[in-house]
Amino acid sequence: MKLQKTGMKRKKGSIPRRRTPELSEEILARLPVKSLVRCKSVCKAWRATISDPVFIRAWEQDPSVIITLDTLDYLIPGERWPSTFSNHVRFYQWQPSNGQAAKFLHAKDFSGDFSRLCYFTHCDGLLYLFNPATRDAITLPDSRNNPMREEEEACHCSGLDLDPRTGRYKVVQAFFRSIDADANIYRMGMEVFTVSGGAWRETPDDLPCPIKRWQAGLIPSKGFCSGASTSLATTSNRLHGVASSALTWRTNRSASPRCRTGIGDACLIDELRGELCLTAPTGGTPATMTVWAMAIDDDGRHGQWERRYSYHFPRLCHPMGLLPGGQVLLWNQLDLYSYEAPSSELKVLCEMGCMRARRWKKLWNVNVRPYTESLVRITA
Amino acid sequence: MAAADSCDGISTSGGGWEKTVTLVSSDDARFEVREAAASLSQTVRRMIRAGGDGGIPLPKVDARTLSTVLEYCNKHAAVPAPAPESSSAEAAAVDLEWFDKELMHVDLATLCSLIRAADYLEVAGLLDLTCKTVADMIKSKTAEEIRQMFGIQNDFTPEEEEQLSRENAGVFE
Repeated sequence: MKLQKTGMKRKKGSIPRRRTPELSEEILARLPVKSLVRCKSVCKAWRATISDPVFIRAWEQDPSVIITLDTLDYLIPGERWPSTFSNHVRFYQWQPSNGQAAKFLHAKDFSGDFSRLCYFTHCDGLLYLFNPATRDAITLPDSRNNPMREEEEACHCSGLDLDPRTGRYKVVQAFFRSIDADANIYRMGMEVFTVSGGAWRETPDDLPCPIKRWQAGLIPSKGFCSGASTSLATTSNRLHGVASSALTWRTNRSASPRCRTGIGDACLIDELRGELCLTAPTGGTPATMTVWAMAIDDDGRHGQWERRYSYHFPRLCHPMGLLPGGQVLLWNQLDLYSYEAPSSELKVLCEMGCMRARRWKKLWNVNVRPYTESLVRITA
Repeated sequence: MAAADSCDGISTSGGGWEKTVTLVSSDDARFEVREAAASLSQTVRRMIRAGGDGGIPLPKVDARTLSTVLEYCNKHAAVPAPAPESSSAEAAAVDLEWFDKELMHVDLATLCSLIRAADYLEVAGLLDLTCKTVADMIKSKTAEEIRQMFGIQNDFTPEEEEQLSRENAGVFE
């Protein structure tokens, strides 16, 4: 354990035993984010502790998710795909103790920054690239690398993570280099942006396998921490593998998990606690979804896919975190569920559709991400 | 507070005798404790495994602090693994919570000694309890109140303070 030296000075008349605990880190780790902001002004040693990325990562918090909404400013009748997505985004936080209610965190106007809100990615309390706790936000520069950026078919998958080697946050995004429309196969490139004074930089390796549209996902994980970003590729009804095209110009592939029916187009890939999680239907009546996980270490090396659990449910759910009792928190569209091993059933924890009835108007879609409040400052 | 008066060995509720170990504080007070309770401390557990006669020396913990730590360990080790969701398990949990709360009714200096002891002795539950208690005490205090509480000197220059307040402006209003 790291002991913290503090600038302490015994005051006249105070009890000799009364000292700043050297273990201030242990105490600070148990404070809510609001108190931590105040504690940064106590002394230099405390400020250093609280600003340390290692401290921020180890900081214990109850599991929670952040909910962002794709809402429409107004409805244009007859429009197949809405063109009126609101740039005014409301952020809600939900914790298991909240039951059916989500706590309003913040609303932010991303004045004209996007025409449609895509999934926010999350890392260390930062949403791409906005911190709802400190309310810092930066706008990323436009990328010049992406040859198809103006086209309707443009790819919008991106990830955000901390690079432990440099201690800086990096954003990675994939783009389509070319499209074979007949075969519905995409060739993809990737680029990386280092937060604070960086520029988009293209990675020299393209993804090693052809990508079928809508199956391209980009998962920030420890693989990216070490300078690798990970992308899932499937071809013709079979999971091709998880390719990790590293910033260190290294390319890894891993075998797909073995399962009886093979893994089709319908699968989800998520990152949870430093592991990649793959959820895919494995057939049966009632419909069964199976989750595999694969650990990735700080150097981007990965292990084997391990089967973790299965649940009876007709739809794929994103794993969102572990609840205090050890159950898994899952998200599908408008509902949050919990899963506990023995039953193989999902229990509804929160119906976001019910919340919508009260306040959310013209809702198009709901995005849910695991979330921890953080004090990380982001500057352009 | 229970002090070094438990040297006559401790019998279990079943009436039999349980294995005990002797712990020696920095000021040479000897505490005889049930091994099960002492083993809540990972440090002591390792020393028991390593063996040796004449008691386990704990040079970093004084008698007053050690007696409180052992009070905690005795109480927490006494709780049998309960059948989940039984009413007695619930009652035991409530009792334990009450006990913990009472144990934390001490001054800040004592709490800080307990944190240091819990860290040195590696009693995870007590470390969590004491740190949470102190965290609750400083949760809603201003920076100046926290400095006074711990006797910390403000080592920021006025310019740095100015910058800090600028950085934190607008956060959590």
